[in-house]
Amino acid sequence: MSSGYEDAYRVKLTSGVLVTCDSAAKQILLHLDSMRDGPYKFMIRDVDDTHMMIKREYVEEIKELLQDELEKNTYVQDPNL
Amino acid sequence: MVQPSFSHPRSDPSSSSTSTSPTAALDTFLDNQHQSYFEELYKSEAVCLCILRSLPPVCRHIILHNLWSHQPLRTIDIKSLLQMDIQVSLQDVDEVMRPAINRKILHPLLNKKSKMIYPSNDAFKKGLRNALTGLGTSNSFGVPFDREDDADIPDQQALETYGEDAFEGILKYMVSSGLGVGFPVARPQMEVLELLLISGLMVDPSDPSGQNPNLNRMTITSKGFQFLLEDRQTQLWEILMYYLTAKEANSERSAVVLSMFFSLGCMQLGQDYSASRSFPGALSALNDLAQYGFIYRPAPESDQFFPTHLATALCSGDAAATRGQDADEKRFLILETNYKIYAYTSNELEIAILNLFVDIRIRYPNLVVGKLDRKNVKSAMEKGISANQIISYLSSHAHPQMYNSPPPLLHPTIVDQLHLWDRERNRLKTEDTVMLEFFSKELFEDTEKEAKANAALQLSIPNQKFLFIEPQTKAAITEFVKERQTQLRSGF
Repeated sequence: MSSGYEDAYRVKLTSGVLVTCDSAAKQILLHLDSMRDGPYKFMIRDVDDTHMMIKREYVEEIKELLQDELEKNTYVQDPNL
Repeated sequence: MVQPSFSHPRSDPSSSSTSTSPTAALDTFLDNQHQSYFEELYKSEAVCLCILRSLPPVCRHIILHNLWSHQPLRTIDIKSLLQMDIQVSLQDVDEVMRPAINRKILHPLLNKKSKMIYPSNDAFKKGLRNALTGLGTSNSFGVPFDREDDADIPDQQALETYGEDAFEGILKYMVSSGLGVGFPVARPQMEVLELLLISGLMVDPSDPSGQNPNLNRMTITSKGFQFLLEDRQTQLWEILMYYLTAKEANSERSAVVLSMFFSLGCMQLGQDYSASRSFPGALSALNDLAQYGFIYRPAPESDQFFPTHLATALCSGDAAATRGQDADEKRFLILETNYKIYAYTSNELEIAILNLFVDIRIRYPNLVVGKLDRKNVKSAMEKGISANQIISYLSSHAHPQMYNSPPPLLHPTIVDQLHLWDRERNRLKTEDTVMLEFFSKELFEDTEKEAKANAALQLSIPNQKFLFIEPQTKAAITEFVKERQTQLRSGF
């Protein structure tokens, strides 16, 4: 569809998975992505505060990683207290 | 920054059925049946009577009004009965009679002068006339059992206890399945377990394919938990409809069985009936119902059976009749703002339900003290129980004392926290998408408008000129973009 670099009307098409989340979760995702190298990076495009586009094959993995990360940040009261 | 909003919790399709009538399951089933099915049903007088009872009052009156008439009902008759204006459109009249038309009691058709008339179903008319006059030979109201006068028969109280125990036993089994260390409950018969599996109220988690489920290792599903929260009559009709659907799936005739349900609903508590003479065509189905506590049989092989209150109240439309517990007895929960829960109950079933999402700390004979904590609530949520389901359970069981404090009934902190825990599970919303990256503002805006008009737009970021569209609309949108590109380019 895009014809020539100088064309003002060119359009770039990319398929993937659009992730909608709160901005805190978004920051964790950015962090997770920055820890990864080359082909293992999952982010295609950082869209805005609450949206991100990622590769389809990583969706399930990312969900789990995020859960783990959130779990680390949860205060668990000592039942013996 | 996205602010969480709990004022409109996302609509949960499974929880939307809570406010509907107890016979909702039956209504959906009947709505999907054909004329011939109703013809078969209406052979039974009991069915005619029960269906009539289930109609809205206006419909009921009009049908009774016309019952002994030889003329079909005319639109003008209905209008005059309802004191409607003569100019009222046909749709409005149709709207009033819709429930009766849906049950194939009336068949609207145009007569020679192209006026709408509503002749009634002959089978229904005959059945209802017989029901009211006591004629008819189908024995659909049951045949009393011929017993000796001095025979020992259970009283109404005993029958109610029996029915309640049998049905609660199944519910208890469902609940305890969700707990790692269940308390001892009797396992229902295999047929019951199969029905719970087929209906989707329970699943075998170790068998995700559903090919070869182990009936002994099933756990409760989200649908099953919703089922537990319904009132008793809704539960009964749902179970009966699952049973009926399962019968149909085995390509058995379900009309006979359904008319038996209605017959049972017209029977009298405390009276014994003869199985073989009342339901010659549905003896095996009657045996199945015994497992759910709908009927009581003094001896397994005997022809004599007693319907319990579960069966006799099916068609009464009176929810209180089937409710084992009184409304007051159901109100036992005190929830404090520090997440502590005091449950004044000794009902095993209720304690088991609480145990699904409450960390129970102390148990006295009539009081259970526990705490709503993250770990338990989240493990309940992993089983598919939603925050809304927990909240509706807590508020429907709130102790009268809770009503003394200013509203809302449940403290907002707790409601919000439950929603937050629910949200934590799925903080990410993912959807397949195609991103279009534009460099021309004009083209971007045109495409955005086009995508919006075709409901293809997922997200648009105007300042970066990104558009996200549904993948299946990609071809159509690309086509549009190409066209616009050509137009814009040639515009200069």
